[in-house]
Amino acid sequence: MPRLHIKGRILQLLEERGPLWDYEVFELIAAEYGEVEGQYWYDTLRLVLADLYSSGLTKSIEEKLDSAKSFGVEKILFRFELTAFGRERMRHTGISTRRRQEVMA
Amino acid sequence: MSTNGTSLQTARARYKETGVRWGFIWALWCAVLWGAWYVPGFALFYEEPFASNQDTTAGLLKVAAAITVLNAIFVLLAMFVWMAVLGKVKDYGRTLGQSRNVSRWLWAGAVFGGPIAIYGTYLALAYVGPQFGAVAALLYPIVGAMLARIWYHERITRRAALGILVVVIGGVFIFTPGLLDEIRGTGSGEDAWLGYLGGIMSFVGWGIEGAIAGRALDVTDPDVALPIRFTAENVYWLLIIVPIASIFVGGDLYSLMWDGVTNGIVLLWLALAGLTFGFCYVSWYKAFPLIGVGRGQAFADLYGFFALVWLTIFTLAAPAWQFWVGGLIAILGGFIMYTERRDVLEVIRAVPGRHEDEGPIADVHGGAGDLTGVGR
Repeated sequence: MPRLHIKGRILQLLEERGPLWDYEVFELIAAEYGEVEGQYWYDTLRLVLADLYSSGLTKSIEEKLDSAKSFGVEKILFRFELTAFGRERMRHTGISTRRRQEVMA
Repeated sequence: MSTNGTSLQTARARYKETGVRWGFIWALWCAVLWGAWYVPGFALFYEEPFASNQDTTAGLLKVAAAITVLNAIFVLLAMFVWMAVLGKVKDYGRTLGQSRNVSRWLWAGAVFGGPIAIYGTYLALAYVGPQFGAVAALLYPIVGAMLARIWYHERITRRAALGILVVVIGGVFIFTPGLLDEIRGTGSGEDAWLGYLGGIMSFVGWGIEGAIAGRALDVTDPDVALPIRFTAENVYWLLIIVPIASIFVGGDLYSLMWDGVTNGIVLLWLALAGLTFGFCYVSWYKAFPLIGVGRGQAFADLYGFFALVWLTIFTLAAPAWQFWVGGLIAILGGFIMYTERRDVLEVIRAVPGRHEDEGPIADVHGGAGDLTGVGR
């Protein structure tokens, strides 16, 4: 069972894998967190991503419309990337895995 | 599937606007419920065992403490229902487990929000009156906006500064007439200064809590963060403050609380207080990531208006003129702060160096005034 909270893990995924589409974030989180499934959680994770975007931790680098990726409802899809501020917040809250690797190295 | 550029651009603009709009909707929802909370919050003082234990200063301090603790317990209960409905109980456990770097900010915020701000509010309600208690905390956005500026560089524009100034003028109206009466010795009671102190505790405490919460909410889910903040408040009261206080006052606090929860009407008021306050608070936390702490707090200040309206309806007593005038000025100040240009709203963090080129920011955040450097 994953120990990190979902919002923290989303930030980690963006750090580890680089820019991700919101549906990719959903697929990755759903694979790790048992309770995350279906449209309800897809929408919930989009709200989490909207928080991160509004707070300036991420920015959008690409957008598209593809209802097949959002449970048949046409929504604007975003490809999010961590900002420098987001990386810094991750370091300050111990969520960044990069820092741990650097410390160990 | 439509992928032409125009519709995409429209959709993108709409998405940004939606985020901002929801931020204000949450802040408004917070204001409505916050205002409503003063009715059950104040009614509790009229129910047994609280009504008959207020004759002495010590008695009233104990009653205010007992009500604050019960309020915290019932808010937490309401929040567990909320998390269960949303399916976020597991994430609550995970976030709580990240105590070292993540949830500790929520625990820190709870110190200022609970034993300082909420207890202060109950003192203000008890010693001066509900109308004063309600409008005194209107000053909190000043504290919150300034701390958010210092700690994490939330932008304070000239316009926001003007709004803050107007809020302060509103505060002068709210506090000065009553305080002058106290100084002249013609005030409402010999211990009324405790109520004014409580009023100051409420706005300073909530201002600090908001600023700290904004920091924690960068990396946590508001629906989970708020229950953790109330878990912390419950721990502070039940495991630390009440046991220590009981060394000095005996088992009074426990018996007051127990007699309270075994009275059906008290339970009803507590349930209403827990629901209104819990959902007001969670809306407050949900607004912060979307529109920023300063703006979220300023807009939530509309609660002062709702509180005066609710209290007038339920107590059938019109608030004194200075509360209306001061309250309206404070709310006007909040509006001046919030009606900023859209482009300012879109990026709430004007972190120096964090522009298009993603320049270096470490030096900026490593400054002495940075919250992140505390306790490291």
